Amino acid sequence: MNQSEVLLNQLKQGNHSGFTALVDLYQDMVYNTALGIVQNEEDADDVAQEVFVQVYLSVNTFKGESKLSTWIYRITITKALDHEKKKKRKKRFGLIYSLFGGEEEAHHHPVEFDHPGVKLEKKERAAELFKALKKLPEKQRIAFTLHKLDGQSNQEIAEIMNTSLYAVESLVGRAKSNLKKILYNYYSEKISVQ
Amino acid sequence: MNKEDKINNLINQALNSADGIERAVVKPFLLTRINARLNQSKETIWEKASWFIGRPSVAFSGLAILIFINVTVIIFNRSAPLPVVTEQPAQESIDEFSYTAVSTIYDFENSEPQ
Repeated sequence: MNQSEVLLNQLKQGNHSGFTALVDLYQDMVYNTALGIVQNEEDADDVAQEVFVQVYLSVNTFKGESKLSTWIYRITITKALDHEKKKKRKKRFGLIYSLFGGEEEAHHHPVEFDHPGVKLEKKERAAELFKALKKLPEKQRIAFTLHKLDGQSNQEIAEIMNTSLYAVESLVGRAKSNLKKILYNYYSEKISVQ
Repeated sequence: MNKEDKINNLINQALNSADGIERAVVKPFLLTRINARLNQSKETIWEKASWFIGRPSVAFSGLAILIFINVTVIIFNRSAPLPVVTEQPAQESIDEFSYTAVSTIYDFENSEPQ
């Protein structure tokens, strides 16, 4: 029995120390995956909390058909995407509210994401890459994020996304090609302005 | 370097900027925040329920439904004709039988002291 299974059994029996150990083991993975998707440290922290609350509340529904880490990855991706949608809705509402004379708006403007793990000399290009990532279709973005930022293999991504290996290769390929197009438009505009 | 080369160079730099990216460090006391959220989620179920029931619109609607049901029942009972009681032979025969049985037992019991 591996460490994950031991923790899972402890958690299913309502042992809180099992939950503490589980958080300790997976917090880094959950936080970094969430950070890659939501591109904001505060939001990623929020998502990480939501993920572990969900794990705690629904651990008894986990049948063990996939690895525990895969299950947690899936919850993280779902929660991160939900968080993002909620934020977009809030932003839209803030905009409408401000049109009718409300004061709540200014702090919703997106700022360039500065990933804390990127080396200093690459910060500027990385911020542009993250901005372009936001424009990708959801599945391509998830596949690319798991591949590039989390360093997951295509096989692991296929398990997490519940799809075939071929589909993942195609998603990552299309993500790269679309990123190139988005970045091309961005840089050509930037250079022509200069 | 012409414009196209410059753009392609920037694109490659951007795509490679995530290579060798380090893991971000989680803020301390994440577990404490999770536990607080877990406790909060337990409380909010009751909080939400009491908040929902306590809303004037819900309370007044509930009251209106109750009054409506009561009034409907009263009106329906007044307007409906009184049920006609008819004698049921089958029931009667059973009653007769039970009466007979009881009296038989009674007679039997009463006959003992003689």
